[in-house]
Amino acid sequence: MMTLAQRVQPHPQVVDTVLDGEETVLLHLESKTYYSLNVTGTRIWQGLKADRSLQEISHQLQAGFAVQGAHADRSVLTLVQELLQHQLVHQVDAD
Amino acid sequence: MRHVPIRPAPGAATRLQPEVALLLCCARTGLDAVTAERFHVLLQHDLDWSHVLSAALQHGVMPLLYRHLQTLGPEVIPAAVLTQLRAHFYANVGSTLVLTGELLRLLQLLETHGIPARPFKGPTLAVSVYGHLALRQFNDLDILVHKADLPRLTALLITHGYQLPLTRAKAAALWKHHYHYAFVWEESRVLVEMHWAFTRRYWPVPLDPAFLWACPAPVSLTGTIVRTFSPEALLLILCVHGAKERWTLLKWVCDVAELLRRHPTLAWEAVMEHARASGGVRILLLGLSVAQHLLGAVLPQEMVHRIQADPVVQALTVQVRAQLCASLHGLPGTMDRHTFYLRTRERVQDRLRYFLFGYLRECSLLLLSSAHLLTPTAQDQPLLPLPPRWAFVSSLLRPVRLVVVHGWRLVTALLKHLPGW
Repeated sequence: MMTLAQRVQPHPQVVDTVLDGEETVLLHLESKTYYSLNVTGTRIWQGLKADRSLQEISHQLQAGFAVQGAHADRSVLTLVQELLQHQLVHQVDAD
Repeated sequence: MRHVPIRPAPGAATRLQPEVALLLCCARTGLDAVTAERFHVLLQHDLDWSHVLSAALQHGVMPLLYRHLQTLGPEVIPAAVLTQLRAHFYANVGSTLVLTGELLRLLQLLETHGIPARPFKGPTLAVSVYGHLALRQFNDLDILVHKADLPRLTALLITHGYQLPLTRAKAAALWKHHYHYAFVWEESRVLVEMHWAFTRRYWPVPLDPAFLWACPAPVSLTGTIVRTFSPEALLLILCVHGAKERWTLLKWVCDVAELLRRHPTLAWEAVMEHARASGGVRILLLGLSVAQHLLGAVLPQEMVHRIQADPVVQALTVQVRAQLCASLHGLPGTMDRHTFYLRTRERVQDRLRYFLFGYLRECSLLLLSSAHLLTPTAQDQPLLPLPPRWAFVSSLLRPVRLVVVHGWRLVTALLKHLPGW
């Protein structure tokens, strides 16, 4: 079960580009599959690329989108779970 | 240096169809107030959107067109057109990501094996000059390497899934006369051009390797830092490439214009020094002049004066502009390739080299292809009609006409700057 205490990083075989700051297109170079993230997903993905913890990313969402903590936590965990499923990210050991 | 913006000659823009004028407005990352106003006015016309899209794709400026239409005029253009344009834009995003991923993989491979490499054009140009991977169309990768590293590099790439579809004899000929090998990655058909120069030997612009490899500029590609050329070196490379291709695509003009916008304080003395040393001053001035007249690029006063002082550059600018606008209108161009290549060189030795090893070599290849040489066209018909059994005379007249007409024109261009001419 994924928790906010865990850390994940983008998979090295994934390249991405952000469009107008609101959408991110990801390409997994091995599977040749494209993915698209909306504005919330873009914020989370940028946080992962900056090597922030899932908790820090959730806090940033709360501040940036004026949402409650539980909602932000859920958004982060749901997306990260999906990213793991598609091997777009991988777990790293916590500090 | 003081920078001087110059507006197009009066009346020049009014000869353009609104579709072409729209493309010229959009072929830049940012619109100033005047261009934005013109853009809005053009959108009020009943535009042939099919032609706009087709020309934008052909000339490599579709991403910029999409960006500006989406930002400034989505409610004005037909929904179906915007949908189609969006589809092309996202397809281009996908394509650029594939190429970027492969470029990063290649550069890592070359670095691991101690082979110095400098990527240029493609993803690095899109990010360093346009500010975003998605704003430029490109369909291959270009990397400069040292010629001495090519055998080792070739073996390495073939081991890692690349093909070099050449016979040994052809590879040897390219090594001697050409300037790159084109490798294809089997898995996804990515084309990678490994350059050791930028032009063929018979039209040389030998940029100083020390200048090219010094002062690399860092560029971030999806978070990975790679090193490309300095803006000064890149400007020369882009002008050389544009001239080599006779400026037949708008995106190549856009490349120069965007570089000038992003780097308004270039080391112009160094640029001129290296252009002069490689016989590429006129090539450089032509690239600057075309970017200025077509896309409003702002040049330092000294460059403007140099352009104004060279009537050949001004004449070639008019020619390139006419050729590009004809192409944007969907019409054939009339620029003679050989005359263009001769006129772009200011040094006699470069003209002579091209005349002997470019033009005459091609003529000799044509001579060997007798079908082409002896098949008369309408221009080869004699002044007086001939009886049918004398029709073969037209075939004999053709090679004579070709040599007289084209040879004289080229000799004139070649000798133009000899003393006493």
